[in-house]
Amino acid sequence: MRKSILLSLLVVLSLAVACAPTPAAPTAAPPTEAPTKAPEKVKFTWWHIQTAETEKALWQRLADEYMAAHPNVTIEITVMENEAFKAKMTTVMQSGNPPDLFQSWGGGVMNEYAKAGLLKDITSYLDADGGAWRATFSPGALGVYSFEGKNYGVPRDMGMVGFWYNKDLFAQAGIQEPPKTWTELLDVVKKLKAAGITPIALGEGDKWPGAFWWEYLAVRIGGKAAFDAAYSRKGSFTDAPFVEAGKKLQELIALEPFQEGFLGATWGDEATLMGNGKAAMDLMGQWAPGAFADNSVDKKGLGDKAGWFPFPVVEGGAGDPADALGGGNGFVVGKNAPPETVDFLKYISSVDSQREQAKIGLSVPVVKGAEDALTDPLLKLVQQGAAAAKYFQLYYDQALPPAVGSAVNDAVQGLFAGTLTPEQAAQAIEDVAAQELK
Amino acid sequence: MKTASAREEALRLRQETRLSRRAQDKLTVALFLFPSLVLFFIFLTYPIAQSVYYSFFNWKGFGPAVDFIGLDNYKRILTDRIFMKAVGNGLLIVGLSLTIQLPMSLALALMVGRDLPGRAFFRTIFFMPYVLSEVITGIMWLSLYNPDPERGFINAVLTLIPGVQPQPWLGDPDMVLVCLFVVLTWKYFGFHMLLYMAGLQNIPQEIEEAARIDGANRRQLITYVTLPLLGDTIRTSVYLSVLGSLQQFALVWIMTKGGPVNASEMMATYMYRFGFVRFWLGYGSAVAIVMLLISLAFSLTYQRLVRQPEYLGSV
Amino acid sequence: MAMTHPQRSSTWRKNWPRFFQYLVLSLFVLIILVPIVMLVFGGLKTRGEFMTRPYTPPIPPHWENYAKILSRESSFWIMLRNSFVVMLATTSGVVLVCSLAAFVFARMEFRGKSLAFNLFTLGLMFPINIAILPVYLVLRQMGLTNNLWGVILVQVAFQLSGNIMILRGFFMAIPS
Repeated sequence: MRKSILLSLLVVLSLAVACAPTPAAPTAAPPTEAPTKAPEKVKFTWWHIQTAETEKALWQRLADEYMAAHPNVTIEITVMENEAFKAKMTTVMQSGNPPDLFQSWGGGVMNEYAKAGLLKDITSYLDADGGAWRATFSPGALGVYSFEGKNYGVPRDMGMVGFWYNKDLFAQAGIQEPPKTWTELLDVVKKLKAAGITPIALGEGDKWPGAFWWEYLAVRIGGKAAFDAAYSRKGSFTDAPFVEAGKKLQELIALEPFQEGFLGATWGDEATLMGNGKAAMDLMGQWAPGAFADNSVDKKGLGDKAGWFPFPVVEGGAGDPADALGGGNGFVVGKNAPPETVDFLKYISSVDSQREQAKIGLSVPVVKGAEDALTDPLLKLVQQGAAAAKYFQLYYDQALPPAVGSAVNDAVQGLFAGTLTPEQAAQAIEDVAAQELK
Repeated sequence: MKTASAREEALRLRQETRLSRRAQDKLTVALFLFPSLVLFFIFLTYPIAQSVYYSFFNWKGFGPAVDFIGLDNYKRILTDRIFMKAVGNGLLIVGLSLTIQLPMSLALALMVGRDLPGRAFFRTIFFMPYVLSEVITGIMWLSLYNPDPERGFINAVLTLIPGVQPQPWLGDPDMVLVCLFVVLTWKYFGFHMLLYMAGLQNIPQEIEEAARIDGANRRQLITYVTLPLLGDTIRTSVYLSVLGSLQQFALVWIMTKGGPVNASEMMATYMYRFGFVRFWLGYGSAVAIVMLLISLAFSLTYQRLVRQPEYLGSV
Repeated sequence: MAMTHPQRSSTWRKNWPRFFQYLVLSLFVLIILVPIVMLVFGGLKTRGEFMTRPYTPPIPPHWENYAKILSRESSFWIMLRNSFVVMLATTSGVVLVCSLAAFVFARMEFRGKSLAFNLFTLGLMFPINIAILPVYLVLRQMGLTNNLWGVILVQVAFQLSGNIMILRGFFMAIPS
């Protein structure tokens, strides 16, 4: 009986040898670059993650409009929920079969795709007519979708992480003004606790919400120089600013400012607490107010009670107060996409389209001239902050290769749980970075 | 290729031996096994073989694997603290399943028995969770476990008892595994119960009647007649339960993502985190192979320990 | 419980196992039903209501959730049809293919029997999560992506091991 097990293993192993080389020869169809002078039938696929009703409808309408104007074009839209989209992407990308137009956050993950030759270089489209299309975007946001001097997609939305807070709860705790320095922030936390209010909502089960804290501290303490050094490998993630960021974070964690059970909570829990006035502040990106509203009973979220302030300055830090951590959404083009895909992308990136996106709160616009469609005063603050930042740091889990980004998220969760010291957390990140960044 | 040989064999047999019994048997075996073998080779053996191949590479999943690193992936797995933690967590879930979940299922199966009025009702209700999708199950239990009594039903009920504090449940590294085990039990005990009920159905009533006439009381009847006759079913159920526990993924990923800080990491979530999320497909493949070997080792040990490995063939 | 009346005591003793049985079973029914009832409630709430008050009854009930799903233009109907096709094909495939194999393993003797059976049990031990990529590549080579057959065949293949094992048990239990 032992023998038969060994035998079946042998069968598997011999097959491993026999069939190993096959996957190396992908059978993907050759790129279809046929020039379409005559209205030849063209079909392309578009994957987006806007499952909310109004947002999904807007994309559908834009696609319908485009198809009406170009009867030879068929756009196949697939709408996926965020997590499902990410899971599906890993499979289709690894099989070398990307959709033609799809959601992207730019940065490290997109760079991996670009390196593997899975994306279409659209630089020439942006530069056509003296760079007319390129000029419509704010350069920082567009840069997120480029890799080694080539553009693979365009942004539609760009914002920054900051503190969303509940003015009523701040007033209840006798806090006059939002904090400007880290020490003041710690004071605010103490005052809120003393008033019996949960100071900060956090869904650390999802890891990335807590990672914002550590990353922003690193931005404030180390500035652009620290990140650039670590990224270019002239320095490392064990350099003083990154360890110091962990120590500052520990100061905060020691005050126990988060809701009960935050280590197992999700971002959805975090938004629910904020939306229903159960916690006073939340360090989050531009999508926060929408999520607060979506997760509140009255669908209004914080409404008039909402306030926003930028991440406080850390005393003695090398960063400029205007430096920002953030990111946004965009679309990139798959390697086999017909040229019509890029034309359509241009269409949905127009000022008019951007204004509509801004109006329904889908995007914080990145196309010049669409900003005024933002009616929410707080989102305007976010938009201006992101646009004015001299040093704009994309979230680490997007800026860095996926393995390093995921190591950051894991290590920071260790800090929050108290299982890692700031030094150990920095080391854990550096271990992966040393392997992945070259 | 397989088809051809099977057909040729069939033809040859028919002509030469005029369907002697032996040949007839051979033909039956070949024909009956053919479809499952084909499916199995294409969709299981071949992919397993590919995973074995990739496990020797440092491969990010894009394009051909070129960076051959021999056994490095395996060395790394076996020295990784988090993987060992995942193995430990898996074993704990296995232990809890065998000592709590299965006995409970068996007890309930015996209780519902063969002739309890309302049997069909209980059977239907108990089987419902098994039919529910794992994603929905995860989301509902996430909500039940919410630490805030206003949002979490379990804490809401608990805090009705004076002096009891709301618990963080999934947010507490010491509690999270037990919390997950409760959900796994909720979801899967119905399946095992149904297996046992089917097994009970197969026990001839006369045997139990005979024992009863011989003066056996209820407990003796269960210990000396019912349980031994259920042996095969129990062994199958244990086997499936252990393998299922070792490979647990969807529920854990939805509810805790293996957290907080790896406290509920399973081998499968570890594989997903390091294989897919980090794009280390070569490493992930190696983890899959290690999982396969661990399951295999269990199978071997199990058939050693269990005297009558009938249902396992001669593994 | 002090029983003075001998007859009452004896009926009690005779009936208490039954009573106890129902008590325990009802308790389990309750535990099983809590999340399911919550799910039903949840279906009648807005997202905000579900996140904020997950376990309270849905007042007022938002029937429009169902109306939206069941409306003519909803993609639900296509999904339902697809699921139905996959379900029917997978189930009949599994039953047919597995019972054939299970019968052979239960009743026949042949050379390589244990080897074949071990191969099948190997299938139980291979996590489908990691198999997804190689399986996807195979499907693509066969031109079965974007095709229900791709789902059906893979589902049948991955259910072979468990079902052959279970069906074999049943075949062996039937006296020949």
